[in-house]
Amino acid sequence: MAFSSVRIFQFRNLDDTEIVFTDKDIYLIGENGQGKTNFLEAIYLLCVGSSFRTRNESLLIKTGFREMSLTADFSDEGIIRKIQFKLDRGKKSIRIDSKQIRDRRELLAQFPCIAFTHEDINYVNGPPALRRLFINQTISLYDASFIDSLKTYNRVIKLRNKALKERRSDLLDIYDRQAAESGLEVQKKRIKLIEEFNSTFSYLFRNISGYNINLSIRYSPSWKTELSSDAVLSFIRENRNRDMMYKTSTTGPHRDKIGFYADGRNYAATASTGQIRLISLVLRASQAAFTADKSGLKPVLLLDDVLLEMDLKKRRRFLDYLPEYKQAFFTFLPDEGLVDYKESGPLYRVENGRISGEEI
Amino acid sequence: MNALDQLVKTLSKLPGIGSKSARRVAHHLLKADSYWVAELASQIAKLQESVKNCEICGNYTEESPCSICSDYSRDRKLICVVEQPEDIGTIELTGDFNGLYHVLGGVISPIDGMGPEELSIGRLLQRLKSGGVEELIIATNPTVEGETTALYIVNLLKDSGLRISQLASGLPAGGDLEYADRLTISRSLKGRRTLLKPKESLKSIGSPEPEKPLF
Repeated sequence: MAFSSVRIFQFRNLDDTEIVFTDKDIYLIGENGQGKTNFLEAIYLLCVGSSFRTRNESLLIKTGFREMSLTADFSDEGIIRKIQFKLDRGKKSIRIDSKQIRDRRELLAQFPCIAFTHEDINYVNGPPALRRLFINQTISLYDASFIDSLKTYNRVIKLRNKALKERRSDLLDIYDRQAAESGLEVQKKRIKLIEEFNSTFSYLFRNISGYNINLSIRYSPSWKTELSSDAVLSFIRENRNRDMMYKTSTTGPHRDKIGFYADGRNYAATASTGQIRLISLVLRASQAAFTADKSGLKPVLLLDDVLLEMDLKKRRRFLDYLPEYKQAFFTFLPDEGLVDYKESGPLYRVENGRISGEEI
Repeated sequence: MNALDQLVKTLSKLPGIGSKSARRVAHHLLKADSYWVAELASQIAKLQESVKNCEICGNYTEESPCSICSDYSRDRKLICVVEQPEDIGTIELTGDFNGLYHVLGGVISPIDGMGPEELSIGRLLQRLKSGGVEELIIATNPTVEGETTALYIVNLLKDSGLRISQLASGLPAGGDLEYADRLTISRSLKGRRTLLKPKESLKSIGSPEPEKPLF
């Protein structure tokens, strides 16, 4: 899908307006704090149904108001369709052609959207939970049943931890089995994903960075047993005394480690800030390429000020190696050399919440 | 606060009734025939006193044992285990089950302070011990907690020689594959049933595939 227009109503700091798009590449220019990222967030909300910046959805509504909505026309194989995201007194609704979407996974499967942001560096050098989150997110983009396995596993672990605190051995016998079964599903899918993902990731990193390094994601599962529920179950049981002592589940996919390795060494541990930024960009680019490949759908890309972090050569290579996409939204600061990317066509200026189009 | 406001507040605690509906109901009662209102009040007042849980299965009943437990035309070799009394009504409506029931009164969930001892599992074991039952059908909801409860009961009964089965979860009847949600389809795939087996086992067509026992 590609958006042909977006109508904004009481959303963040943006003025109520309707913006029409004719291009595949959309350029938004403005100083920091004017509303560029808010606009990208609007596009993301329409594609994914949740924000990439906050879980607190009341922040999406303009200060002093009680409702907001985003309405967009998009073309779906030549047919113009309508999608709406609306928050009204804490109630969220998403409609496609006036039909309410009940399950957000329906949306994910139809409108893949990848956001590149500054915060992505946390996936590289932040806590391990974030790397697991990135992997989970990537799997969820094309495999909806993974979300179910993960939810089940997380619920089992929550219940199991409570049973550990209460020292209920009789219940632990059951939870161990449920954890082994649902956790193994999560682990197997992570193994498969990372294996497939690595070929895209290593290739893109080598070509975008220009370094002669074979960087890949290494998965070290917490359960280092044979991949059968019996083997995992006996491993969990062997560790039960320790779990009892710590009053929490000390093994399982919620403790898996994921790292960036080159030639057997933990590359991210010694990488420079610039290199870490680059890894995070390649991660997202790989996610976009991978999702496009898996789903057969071209994604919408949102690139929030990220080009600015690279030297000119890398920028060029990065843009060259982006996967095929339906539409891309780029944000720039006013003094960036935009002419490197665009010679003609419309530009969108974002100033104090007002978005206005102009020709170069 | 006057009587009307007080009633509105009380009514709005009912499931599915917000403050607006509560106000509507309260105003309706105020204008309604006083004999009818008194009748309604007395029915509500008597409800908890007259309807009890069946001493055998836990179903709602005015006389214990309940009409299902005391119906000797039913198949007493079969017991269907459900979470709540209202689940019995749902299964009874199908008319496809002619055995007895056992209401657990909830599911195992330590987070909500529900352990096995809060449920009527002990009474279920007693019923089974007194003999005559051959199969237990576990009809807890397909949630993590429902599954825990099912597995817990199976574990307790692993040496009992009973046949224990669980309700299938999958595609809705009359439903088109096209309209089913992904989760339902993925569950249906996991719980698929065999229609034709490789040649060497042709004779066993029709009987379910032997599965590895859980415990």
